[in-house]
Amino acid sequence: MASPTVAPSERTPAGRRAQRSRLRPGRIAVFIFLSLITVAVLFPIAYVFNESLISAAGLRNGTLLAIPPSLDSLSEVWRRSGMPLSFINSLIYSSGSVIALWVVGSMAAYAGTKLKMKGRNALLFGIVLFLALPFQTILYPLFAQIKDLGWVNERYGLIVVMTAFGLPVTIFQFAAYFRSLPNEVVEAAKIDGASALRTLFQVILPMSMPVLAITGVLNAIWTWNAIYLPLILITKRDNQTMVVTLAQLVGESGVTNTTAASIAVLGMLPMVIFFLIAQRTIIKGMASGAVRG
Amino acid sequence: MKTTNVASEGTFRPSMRQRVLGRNPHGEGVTGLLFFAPALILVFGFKGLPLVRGILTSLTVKGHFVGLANYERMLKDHLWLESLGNAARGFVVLPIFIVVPLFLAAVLFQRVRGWKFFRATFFLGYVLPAAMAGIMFGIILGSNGPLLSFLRAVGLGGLAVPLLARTETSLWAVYSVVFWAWFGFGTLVYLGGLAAIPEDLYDAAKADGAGFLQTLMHITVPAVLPTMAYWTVVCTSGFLLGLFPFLHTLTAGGPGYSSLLPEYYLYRAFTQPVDPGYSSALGLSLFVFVLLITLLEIRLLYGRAE
Repeated sequence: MASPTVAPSERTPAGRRAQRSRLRPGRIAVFIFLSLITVAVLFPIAYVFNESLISAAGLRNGTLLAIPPSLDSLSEVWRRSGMPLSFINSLIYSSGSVIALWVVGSMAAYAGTKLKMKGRNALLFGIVLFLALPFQTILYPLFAQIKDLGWVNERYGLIVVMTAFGLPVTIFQFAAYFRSLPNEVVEAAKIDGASALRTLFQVILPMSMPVLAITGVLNAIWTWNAIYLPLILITKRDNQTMVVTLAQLVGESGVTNTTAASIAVLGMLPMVIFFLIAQRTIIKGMASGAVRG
Repeated sequence: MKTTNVASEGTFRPSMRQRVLGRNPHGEGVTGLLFFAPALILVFGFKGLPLVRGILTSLTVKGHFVGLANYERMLKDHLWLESLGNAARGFVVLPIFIVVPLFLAAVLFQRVRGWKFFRATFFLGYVLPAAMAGIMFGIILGSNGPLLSFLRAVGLGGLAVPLLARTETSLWAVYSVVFWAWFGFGTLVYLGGLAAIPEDLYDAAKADGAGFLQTLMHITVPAVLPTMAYWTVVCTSGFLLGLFPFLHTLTAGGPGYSSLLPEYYLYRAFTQPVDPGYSSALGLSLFVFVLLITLLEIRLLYGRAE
């Protein structure tokens, strides 16, 4: 019997075990089953993509397929949503938060795992504990606080808040990774006379590519997709994120199915592209960060 | 040869030089605090402090201390209770969210041709902005959408109901969209859990002649219980705290309050002129609610895993 498809990167014993073949007709049925699910997943996306490309003439005629495709609807939405400004805003918020989370998170995790200080575990635990606190619970007091600070509608305000909210998870991930690094590396750097700061940024972090990639990607995704926080903290359209701006467009007048579809397409496009590029890291990050068995 | 004599924390033997210079043997405390500082300020400042203020505020009405009056009001709040009822109804579909991804993960684990492609596609829904997914499904499930057009075309016009606009179906329509978005994540989580199962268990089962389903029931499921517990907690907190983008773009809690969930009611309380004391009380109650349910689930599922 021909050997089954072998996943080239499979390393776990259980995985290899699962690769030994099962019934052939069974596998075909499984494949069809999975394909059907894939169709169910992709159909909505394909539908809105198609719908967004329908020309004005096509709308009047009630044609189903966008042939020939027209960018009219998409460009109208592009214009109405204040692009590319909102896209740039989202870029600023996400990259600002990701970088801040990397720096602040790695520092705290480093102190919590590699620096000799009393109470480091307690501090780590205290921070990570806030994982459990959802921001809806503190919505009002948080907003009041931001208002008092004068940060409402300020770009750095949103970045600071998003960083604060992403820290528990990020620090948890950094700490778990740092713990797996041997202490000898830190000792060696100390012997060479490096300060803690230098050790972290010039020795440890270059060795931490996996966790940097994972935290970077995961934080990029949630900060980009978030609507609750930006909705509350940003009041002027000029400073608003892309996703929120687009979502708010739907409430406005003159939104046909095609317009709504274009809104959805524009909103999803950056993430679709990001996913295509960073697939491996995203999946690895989600899976490894998730298993707590 | 080590030149420092700090062998491990607590067994410091200062050299003559260090004793003379009075160097702090556990000297990284200051550095440590400095490293922790930004994180501490951010987390305690923007999560801890608001929490404390929230608790205090919840005990006030219009700025005056009133003890638990807000909580009493909450218990009589018709809309709040409705939203809790809807949340409870949502838990009816929680088992689907928990079991189906496990099944899919078990299937994918067989490594059929292209399983990585399937895994990635299933996961795509989770990566997309939920608000956009909501808009997308608003179209798909809408009166001019493909679903209804299809039903009419095949002669099932009677079933062609705009699901999001009917009180009987709006809640379930929302949960269906959420399922579309989240099942891939669950599959991924379970795949990780399955990969951690030691091979010997499967070998023993095969030696005993167990088939696919038997292996699934007696080996895989018990070994995957911790992962299931984790995923259950994720889904539960997601149900109670993470549906906002979907609700906001699909139904805004309507029609009426058929799809109103506590989380969305909180949002409404925030955007409308409702007493801050009351909305703080609502928020805290929701938090406690989530904590209790997840603790219960962890006890149930992790307890079973022993």
